[in-house]
This record gives sequence, structure tokens and C-alpha cells, in this order.
Amino acid sequence: MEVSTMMSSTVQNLMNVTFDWLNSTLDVPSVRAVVFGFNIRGHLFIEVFLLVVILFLLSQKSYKPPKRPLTNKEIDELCDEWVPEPLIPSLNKELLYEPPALESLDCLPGQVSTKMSKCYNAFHKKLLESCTASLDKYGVGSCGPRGFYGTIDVHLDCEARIAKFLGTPESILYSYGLSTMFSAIPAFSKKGDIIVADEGVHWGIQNGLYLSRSTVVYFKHNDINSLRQTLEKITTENKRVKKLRRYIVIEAVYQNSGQIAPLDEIIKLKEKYRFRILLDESNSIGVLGSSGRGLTEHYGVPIEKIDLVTADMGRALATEGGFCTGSTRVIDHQRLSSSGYVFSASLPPYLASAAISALDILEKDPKLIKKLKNNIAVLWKGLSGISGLTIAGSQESPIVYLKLKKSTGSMQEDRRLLEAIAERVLKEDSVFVVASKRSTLDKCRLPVGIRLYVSAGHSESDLRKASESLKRVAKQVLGGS
Amino acid sequence: MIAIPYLTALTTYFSYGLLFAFGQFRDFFRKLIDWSKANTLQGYAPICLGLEDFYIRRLYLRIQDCFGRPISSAPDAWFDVVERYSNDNNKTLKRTTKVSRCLNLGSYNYLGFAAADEYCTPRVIETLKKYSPSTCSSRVDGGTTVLHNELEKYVASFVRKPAAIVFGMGYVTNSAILPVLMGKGCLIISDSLNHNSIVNGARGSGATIRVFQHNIPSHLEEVLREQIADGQPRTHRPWKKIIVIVEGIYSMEGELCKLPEIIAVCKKYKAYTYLDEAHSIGAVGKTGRGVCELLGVDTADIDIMMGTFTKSFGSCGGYIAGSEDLIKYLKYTCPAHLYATSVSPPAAQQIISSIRVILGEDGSNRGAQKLAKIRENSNFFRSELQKMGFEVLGDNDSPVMPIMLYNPAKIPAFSRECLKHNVAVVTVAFPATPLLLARARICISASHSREDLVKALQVISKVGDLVGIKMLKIVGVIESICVWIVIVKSCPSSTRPRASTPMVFEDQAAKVVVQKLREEGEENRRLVISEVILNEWINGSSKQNPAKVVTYQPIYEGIKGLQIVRVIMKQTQKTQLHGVKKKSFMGSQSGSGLVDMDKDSRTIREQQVSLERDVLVSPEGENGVGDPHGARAGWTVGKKGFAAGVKEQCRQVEALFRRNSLCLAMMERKLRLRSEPTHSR
Repeated sequence: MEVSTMMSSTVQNLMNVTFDWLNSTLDVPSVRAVVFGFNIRGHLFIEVFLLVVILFLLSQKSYKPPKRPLTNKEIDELCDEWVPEPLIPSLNKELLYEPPALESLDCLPGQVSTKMSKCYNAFHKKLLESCTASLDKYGVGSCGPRGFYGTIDVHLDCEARIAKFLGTPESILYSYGLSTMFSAIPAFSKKGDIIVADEGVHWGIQNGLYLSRSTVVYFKHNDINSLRQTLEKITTENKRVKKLRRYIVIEAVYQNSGQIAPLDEIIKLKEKYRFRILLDESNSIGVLGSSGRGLTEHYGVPIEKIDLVTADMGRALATEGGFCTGSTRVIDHQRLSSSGYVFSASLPPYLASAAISALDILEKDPKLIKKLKNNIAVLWKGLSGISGLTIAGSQESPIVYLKLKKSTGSMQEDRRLLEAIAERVLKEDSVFVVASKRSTLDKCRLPVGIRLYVSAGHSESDLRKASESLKRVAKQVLGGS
Repeated sequence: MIAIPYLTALTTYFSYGLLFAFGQFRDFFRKLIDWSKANTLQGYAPICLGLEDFYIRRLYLRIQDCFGRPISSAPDAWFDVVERYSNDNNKTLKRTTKVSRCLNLGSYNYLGFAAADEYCTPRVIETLKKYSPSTCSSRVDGGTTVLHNELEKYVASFVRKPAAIVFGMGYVTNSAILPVLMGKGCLIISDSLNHNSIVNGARGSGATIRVFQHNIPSHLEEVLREQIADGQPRTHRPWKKIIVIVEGIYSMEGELCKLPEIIAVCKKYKAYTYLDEAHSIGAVGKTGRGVCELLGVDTADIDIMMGTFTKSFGSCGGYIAGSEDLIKYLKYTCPAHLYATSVSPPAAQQIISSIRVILGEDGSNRGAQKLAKIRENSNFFRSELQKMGFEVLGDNDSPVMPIMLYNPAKIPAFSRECLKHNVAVVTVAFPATPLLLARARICISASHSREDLVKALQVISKVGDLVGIKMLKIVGVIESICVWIVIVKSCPSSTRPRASTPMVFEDQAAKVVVQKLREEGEENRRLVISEVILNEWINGSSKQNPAKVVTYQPIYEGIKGLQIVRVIMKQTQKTQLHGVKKKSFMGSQSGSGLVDMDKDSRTIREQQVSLERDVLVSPEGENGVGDPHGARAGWTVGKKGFAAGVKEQCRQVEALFRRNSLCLAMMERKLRLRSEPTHSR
């Protein structure tokens, strides 16, 4: 108790002494200020003190985290430590598939095997003649891109011939089928534009969509209602949509399913929502329609309604390269804006002349298409009731696409089953069919299957034999289910 | 790197500005007219829009006759160009039936396999008959014939890699392979001038893309260090893998890749390498195996080798060569292998046969002859063009030589005038080159005869005068005199050309040199020459150049044939001086191996206005030795004091000179060439 009073009195004393000293040193009237009745002495001193503190703090640099860039030594260490992944993942056994090498490429029956590959229309002799003549005159390669003396007169003739065949104003030749679509799409669709595409489009188109950097919306595979909903949604949701370029990208006959796109209905939607159509006719030129002019003829739609038609000539036209056809404006734009056209060497001239004669033959000989259609029907009939497999494609489609009735759940497992069938069919009956392969890059998630490409070169007995063989092997492999 | 002279840049910008202004003016009226008409769009946005469309309509269409000229024969040394006419101001061009026989300086027919070949053509036709023009299916769907497997084996052994895979188109090879190898979290470091197919492939892969300055290994290293240290953007995770993509010969510059240096950098930082040999495979190297062979790089050091068959082999398609596992993986997953039509069998046969010819497996030495011929032709043509004063890009041995045109108006002028004289040249403008750097590109072939080339040079020289693209005329004088110095100082006294040797020099400066030489004694000659050169160069032969020598000083005396002179130039006329500086890089490039000018050339570029410079005159690089026409002096302008750093290299050159008395003979021969009244003047 005493101690505490002593302490307090000492403190009081000390304070008094301090204030006295302050009073004596700062004995000016203003020092003695009265605030709320209290006599505060020596406040000027405190204010000056505070001011000094503020000035001191202000003079200090504001706090910044120290910037310390990596020293060279540290970078060296980081570089030493960094371990890259291997360039390619380790290979497993599945990767080591080697496709069978063929000794000859005859689509005609009675040779090594009954080949079910993409030569839809077999026209041989005249093609060979025109190719030989062209090889003699122009050599093999064109040795330059189209802009720089790689344009050979047959290229121009071929472009004109294709345009005439399809009834369009102009067309443009690409030197490879795969590059046609992935060059043409980015030429017309840029960042911000809208593309509505089928989810089953092949990789060439997928790549084009990606490279265009446009807004891409997929609709359900070959589903007209899904397309309608997608278009409706885009048109109502986006206010600026009128100012953007809008496209629908479809394939005439889907490579990945063999189905035919319902063009007549798509045209109605297109006109309602004002979208342009980019149509890939790779599998339908020379096949669909009464004279082989493709999907537009098949549905009786005037070709002007389609803004851009592309096609791979490595199918029914039995040559290589691709073309794109449409209005003069659309085609001319590609001649400087389409990277696969500008930056690539042009199509070897003999392949262009092969395309010309293929079209000539197609126009002169409508029997070929009739034969092909007949063949498709024969194969369909032959394959009806095949166990464990169903035909996914449309009735007129040249791609007869067999998929598993009951998927095992994993795409790899499915493929293994199908490959087993294909292998046995080739081994036991010399019928060459292939299970569809999917690249790891391919975004298409449609079920895998066995693709049969019907050709006019097949005879009915070939096809019967093929379907019998498939039926038998499928039953053995997949069981009777 | 191309440095544009300021004045040229200004006039080029002005020309484009003018074209742009007139284009916009016309578009304005076009809009007015369209507005009065009914709207044809009916609710669609216009399908072509933007500056690209504007460029095509208002700029490109005016000169479109210079591009895409159709031909009606094989693209051999001479070909038939179909004449075209237009009735609507070049908007559409119509073909006529008339053709004109022209000398072909445009096609990539490096080895002359484009035309019918006694060995290849019969085999190709045989193949066509056996197989058909097309396999009509992809490689895995029955498009693989025995021919394709054979081709892959041939290609692999030709490029000296364990395995190869072939595709039907070169462009697709690049743009479909890169997405397979690289993906998210990977880094692609690409040369700034890589081909569009690589750019597209890189974009399609989804990997991050960084660019390094064209062909500068030191910058590549800088980028690599920075990227490895920083890791992926935002997350800063380490990169999964890094790939460096370069080309063997850059098609628009004609430059050889600095492969050894780049490989060294990549190895140091564990980056994978991807070499695109589209233009170099078959065209360069002793046995035609491309830049690796030419520059002495082991192919095992390159992870992925890509190339095309369109150029040297006269066919179509492309290949990827690499380790067996890599190729197996590609065969499993590459979309171009799984989905695209396989190489047409006749084209495959053409490639096989042409490789056989190149390797001499056909039983003749035509392949070796072709390779020697293209090298000789290219080096002859390049050195002649440079002598004439054209600004030629690229390196010795490269069959691609671009001549800079810059101004847009010179593009059609050069192209049309050459065509009038039956020489077909390629002019390149946007989008294949940057807007300002329009150029004419010449591709030399082994099928060109010496007469062809001489005719071409005559025409190009004439047209070059007319169009005004001999931008480096002054250099020609300097060069000839430099050679003089080299000869006078480095020949053994017995073979040394005497001052009284009759010389037919057309250059005024050279005449004075000869005159002075006659007057002076032996020991003073060198000093005299340098004085005369500089005085004449700067004051005499070119009156319009006001730069003046204030002082000169032989710095390094020890070496025969080498001298270093310090010059102080007035900076009053930037263009001229700029031209000189620019040439200095080129001089250093063509003097390959003498002086590593990477760093120095950059410092020069940075310090565009500094007064004192050293001029290093060097006699000849290693490349010139053994090359009858490439013998050419290189010279370099560098910062003050730069020359001292070169002394070490000088010593090496001296040693080289001692070893190769051959080099001197080359010089002499060159002098003789010059002294004859040749075609070039």
C-alpha cells in the first residue's frame, strides 16, 4: 500500500518537475492552453515533436518489396535442374500396328483381295491415259506454289471443269484434301465470328475450326433439332449477332458415321437464322445425286444456296488434292488469304488432269453411279441381320459404317474387337476391311466402327462374299448377341 | 536481318500510304453507289471484310498479273509462260493461247528433276500403270503399298536417320505433326521467319509459342534461359518440354541456318530440335543431304528432321525423319497419317528414283554432277549479282537469292520488265514477306546452263538500272580494289601481278590505283592503295557521297593481305552511310567463318550515329576456297577498337593463307574475270 502511494507520488513529482521545467523553458502565453476546462501545459512541445515524427516518416521511402531478379547463377541452376519430358510418350504394344502393305491397287475384282477402300467409282483406263500424257508433258511435281509459276494450265482447266460440273461460277484447287478445309475455314472466319458445327466432323475441319479462333458451338451429330436449338440460342442470346459472320459447318456424308446430312432442312434453318453454310462434300461428290453432283443434287437444292463447298478429290475422283467451289468473290478471296493455297506447292499436274478425266467419265457414263447405288443396296441387303453389329450410316451413303450394337464402354476395347474382326476377315476370306482409327488429337467422340467403302468396281458376288464373311466372323467374335 | 535505308523506308511507306488513300477514296464511292442500290446482304454479314480484303481489292488486284502466271510446260530451265490479258483493269485475267518461252528463275527445281528425266520418268509411268494415280485411301485404311514402305526406308537412309514417315503434302506435314508432339504446357520456340506451315502447326498445337530473332543463336539462348527460369505463364510450373524449330534454308531470305550454334544451345538447355529442310534437302551438301551435311552437323543431334519432296526431288509430299519410336508414335496418332490420302504412287516412285540418281545408285554420276552444278551456278549468280550492286540476301551455296525491291511500284516494274525480256522471276510481297520488304526471288537450278545464267544476268542488270534497285553500287568499287590489295600484298613475289599488268578497269577509282601503283615504289604500295581507295571511294568515284576521310592508319601490319584502316566519316548523308553499314553485315556473312559478327553487327545497328569506325578488310573466307567464283573479299565496318579484337582471327586467317596458296590463285582468276570486258558491265 505504501509502496504504491510512494510510487504514485514519485511519478506525480516527476511529472510536476517535467511540467515545471517545460513551463520555464517554454514560458509563453500560448503554451498554457485551456481545453475543456483543463489546463494543458507544454502542448506546443508535443505538437512540434509530432511534426518532427511525421516529417521523419515522410522522408522515409515507402515500403516496397525488394525486387530481386534472378541472378545468372540462379538461372543456370534452374536450367540445370529442369528435366524435360520425353518427346513422345512411351510406346505400348497397341501402337505397333503396321497396316498391311498392298502389292497393287486394283479396285477390280478377282485380284489379290476384294478391297473395301475409298475408290467409290472405278474408272481406270482413261484416267491412266490422261495421267501418262500429263506426266510426259509436265513431269511429276509442279515445283512451286500457285503464285510463283506453280500454276500450270491444267490446274486452271481443272478448276473450270469442276465449276462447270457443279454449276458454280468458280473453283479453286488445293494440293491436298486434308488441307482444303483447314485452310478455307480460317480464310473466312476470324476471331469473334460464330461457327456452328456438327460434333462428328472429321479432323481436317476440327483443325480449321480451331485455327480460325472463332467461337465454335457444336450441335449433336446429325440432329436437326439440336441444330435448331443451337441456332435459336445463339441468335437470341447475342445482341451483336447480326454484325458477325455466322457459319454452319457440316459434312455431306460423315466420314465418322456414314450418315448423310439432311440438307433440305438445314437450308430452311440457315435461311431463317441467316447463317452461311460450309459444306464438305468429300464423300459425296461423284456418289450422291442422279449424276453424282453431290448432296445438293441429292436433295434438289440449288448449289448457290451453299456458300462454300469443299471436297477431297482422293475419294470418288480417284486422284489427290482437294477443291473448293462457290461464288467468284469467295474463291478469289482464298487465292491470297488461304494459307494452304498460298504457302504450299501446287497439285502435281498429272493429278489435276486425272481429276478432269474423272469428271468427264462421270458425266458421260451415268451407269457408274447407278452401279454404285446398286452395290450399296446389295451390301446393305447382305449385311442385314449381322450379329452384334448395326449399320450406322444412311441407306444411300457409300460409307457403310458398322458399329457395335453394344459398346463395351471403352473406345479402345471397342476398337480392339473391331480390329479382330477386320483381321480375321482379311486372313480367312481375303476381304480387306478396316476398323476406323482415331487420332489422339481427334475430338470426335462418335462410336468407332468398321468402315466399308463401296465401289462401283465391286461386283455383286464380291459384295455378297464380303458380307457373308463379315457376318460369319462377327458372329464368331461377338457371339450371337 | 535486313536494315532498310531510311530514305527507302520513307518512300515505301509513302507509296503504300498513297495506295491506301486512293483505295479508301474509291471504297467511299463504291459504298455510295452500293447504298443507292438495294442491299444484297439480306441480313448476312459480308463474307470478306477488313484490311485483308481491302489489300486484295485495292492493292493486289492492280498487279495480280505478276503473280500466278500460268505455264504450259514442265517447270524446267526454260518453260512456256501463257500470256494473259485483261479487259477490266486487271480485275480478271484471261488466258490466251499464246505462250512465250522464258528462262525459269522462279521454280524450286533445284536439281532439275522437274522435267522428264531419263531415269525417273520411265519408272514413274511404269508405277502409274501398276498402281493407279491415287491410292484413294489413307495410309492405315489400305493406302499403304510396298512402294510407300520402300520410300520411307529410302528417305530415312538418305537423311541418315533410323526411320521416316511420309505424307502427301509438305504443308500438312508441318501443320499436322506439331499438334501431335506438343500440347498444353509445352513451349515452342520458333525462328521469327519460319514458314507459315510451322506457324499454323504451332498455333494448332495449343502450346505456348515464343519467337527468337531470325537466325541469332545468342538470342535463342536468351529466350531459352528466360523461359526455363520463368516456367509456364501464370502458374510458373516448369515447362513439360521445349522444342526449337528452325529451317535449313529460309525460303524468303536464302539464308542458311546457323545450325551448329543453334544445336549447341539446344543441347545445353535440353530443348528438342525440329529442323525443316524444305528448301535445303537435296539442294545443298556434298551428296545433297541438306544443311546438316553442309555445315557438318551430326543428324543424331537433331530430334526431328522434316523436309519436302516438292523442291529438289520434283515430286510432292513431305517427310518426318527421326528415331524409330518417334515414327511409330506418329504412325499411331498423326491425323495426316490416319485420315489423309497417302502419297500418290507415281509421286512416290519419282522420289525414290530421284534419290537413287542423287546417290549414284542409277549407275551414273549424274547426281554428283547436278549437285556440283547447282553449287557452281548459285555461287556464280550470287557473286555476279552482288558485283552489279544489287542488294542480295542470303549465304553462299544457297540456291535461293532474294533481291530487295522495297517500293511497291518496283514489284510489278521488275517482274513485267524481266518477263518482257523472257526471263521469269518471282516477285514476293505481302503476305509472304513483311509489307516493307518486298523482293524479287531467284531460284537457281542445276539445269541452268552458263549461257542461261549470263543471259539472265544481262537482263536483270538492265532491268535493275531501269527500275533503280542497284542500291549498293558503291560497294562494287571497293570490293574490286580490296581484291587488288589482297593480291598485291599476298602473292609471292614471283607470281605477284606487276603494276604494269594491263588491266581493264572500268571503275575510275581502280584506274587511279593502277596509276599510283606505277608511280610508287614497292614498299609504299600498300599505304598508297589504302589512301587512294578511300579518297577515291569517298570523293572520286561517287561525287554524291560527302563522307570524307580525315585520317587513316594501318593498325595491324603483320598479315599479308589484311589491313585495317581507321576512317572517320561525316554523318551528313545517312542513307549512303547506312547502305555501307548494311553491306558490312552482308560482307561479314559472306566472309563466313572469318569473323563472328553477330554481336558486332548488332552493336553497329544500335549505334547508328557514331563517328569513328574501323574498316576491316579481309581477303576471303573458308567458303571461297575451292570455289572458282565465290572468291570475294569481305569487309566490315565496326566500332572503334573493334578491329583489335579481330587480331586473333586475323592470325588464323594468315595460317589459312599459308596453307592455301590456292586461294591466291582464285583471286587472280577473279581479277582476270573482272578485267575481261564481261557481260556484267
